[in-house]
Amino acid sequence: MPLVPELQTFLAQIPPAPTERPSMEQLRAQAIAGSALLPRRAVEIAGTLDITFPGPASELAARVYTPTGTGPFGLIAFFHGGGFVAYSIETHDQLCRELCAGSGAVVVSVEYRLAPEFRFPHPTDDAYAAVKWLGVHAAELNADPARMAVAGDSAGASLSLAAALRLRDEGGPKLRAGLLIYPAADMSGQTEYRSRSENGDGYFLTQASMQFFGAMYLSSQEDALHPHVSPLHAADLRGLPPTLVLTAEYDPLRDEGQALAGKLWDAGVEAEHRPGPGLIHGFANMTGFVPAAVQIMDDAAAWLKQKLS
Amino acid sequence: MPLEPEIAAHLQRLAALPAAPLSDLVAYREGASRSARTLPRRDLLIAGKRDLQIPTPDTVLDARLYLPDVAGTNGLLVYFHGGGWAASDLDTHDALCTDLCSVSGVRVLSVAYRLAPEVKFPFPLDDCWHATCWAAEHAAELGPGPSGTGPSRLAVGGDSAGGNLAAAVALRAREAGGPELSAQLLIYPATELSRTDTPSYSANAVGYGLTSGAMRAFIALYLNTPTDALHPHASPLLAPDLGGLPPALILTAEFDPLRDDGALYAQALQAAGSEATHLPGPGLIHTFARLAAISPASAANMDAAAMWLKERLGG
Repeated sequence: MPLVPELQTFLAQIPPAPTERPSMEQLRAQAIAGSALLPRRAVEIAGTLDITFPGPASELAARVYTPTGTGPFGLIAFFHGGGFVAYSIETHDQLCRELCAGSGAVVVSVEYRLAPEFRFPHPTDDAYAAVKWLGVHAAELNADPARMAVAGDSAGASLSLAAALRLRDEGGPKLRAGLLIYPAADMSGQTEYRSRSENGDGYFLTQASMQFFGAMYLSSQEDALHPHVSPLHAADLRGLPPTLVLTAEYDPLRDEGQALAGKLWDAGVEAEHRPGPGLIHGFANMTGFVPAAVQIMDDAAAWLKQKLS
Repeated sequence: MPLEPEIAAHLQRLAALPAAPLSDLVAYREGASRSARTLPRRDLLIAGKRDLQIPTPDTVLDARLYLPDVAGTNGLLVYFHGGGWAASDLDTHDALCTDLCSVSGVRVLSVAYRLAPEVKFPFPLDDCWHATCWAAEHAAELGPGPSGTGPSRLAVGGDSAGGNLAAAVALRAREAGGPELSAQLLIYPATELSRTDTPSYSANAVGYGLTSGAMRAFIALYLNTPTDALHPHASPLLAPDLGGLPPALILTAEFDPLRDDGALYAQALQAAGSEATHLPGPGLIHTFARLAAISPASAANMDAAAMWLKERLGG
């Protein structure tokens, strides 16, 4: 279907990319400033708490979103997107509030360390450490460690899947579910995906940006082929928790997301794929003005609620 | 001194009424509303009141603004009702806010923060904090205050659980470096939720309206774990530093489990160099702030509190 009208307007308003690539500092500042401009829809939660917890190398910040009602609640570890190099707890504050309200679970948004200062595997180390820490400390957050999920968008979905693989292989709490919102699932460059060329330019996330993010995140082709980076290539996906993969029709990452859902299914995982017709990468942050995004995100939150009940 | 005779008569009437147990929270809340509706009101004169909504990051709160019938004061009291963090609302404390507004000439903004156990510590406090910040930003619009006067002076206040919340908001405002508060009016506040064995808890455990057992049950509803009680935002008396806080007026009642909570907080504020005045309520009980129409001593203490507020916020 064509782009939904709200996104046609949105894309028309994005200024053309500057000829010179901005510095990392500028890029991060732009991402935060752009996010702050997005309208928010009203949802009710009990409130938030900002905490820190011991990461692999340093204290890491996190924000805890608590739903209204009586706990203990389910628990969702959330990892924001941003190409592994940008965005933050703040830029994804609204998304986490909506997930919390819609799922009725405590959501913990984790400020993992960003590339290129901290390249692979450091962000995955942080994600894995966060879920393990939450498994031990869930009760302090009025949550039940037996009802945990991971969730993330884009780069955050990649980290969510990496954390789930490491929990399976290296130990930690058993997950009930994973929500992967337009995941980056193949950074090897070895497979041609039609969506990477069809949607490579003009739809918010560009193929050029993806290449740049890969160059920042990864140190070698060996990294690019690592199962925690490109699960479509190498990973044995057996034994992962039920997984919901969301994709967007006009997204360079559409086809790898869809392929990931298929590969999960083939591995015997209870995997579901929900396509986002008419949508673009980033729709999860656009519920304030894109009704189609509201529907798909509310459905995803309801799916988590069911898995964590 | 003995119970004020009017208070004694009030307690006798209460004893004759059926009371819902706290374990049945729906019935308990209904009972609290019903008994508030049956209390006689003074209904002192004000210019008017209007309901409004306060958006916070977490929800939208109902609030009620009371406008005084006198010109010349530009102060605003953000008020948090009592009810054990778990009951009561804007209506149960409507007469109290009306009278405070009328006597002080100060605008009163009564805030319906969300109740426990649906929303537990620290989130009801977050509601109060966000409402206070919102009031500071919007004080000028909360008209019809006199034009041409400077920015509004802002105070926080509350009774019982609301006094606890108001004291905690004052602590948070100091920690956050604003908004600037000119006064805190604490009416029989709970100030140390980790300690429910003070002499006043023992001496007034039953027979005076609020029981020590009910107070312990309210605390359990409000907090997630006993450890929460050690946080200064739950127990302001435990704050390591009570200096640099806005001037406080603390009202207590002689026959109240929370009497010592209030008295100790006044002492601790003074010891830390903060300005604090303690107005004891001999012969009075918890809830006296809502008994002004039937208890002369209650009316006198509440009017003294209103005059203190006028002094702090007037001009």
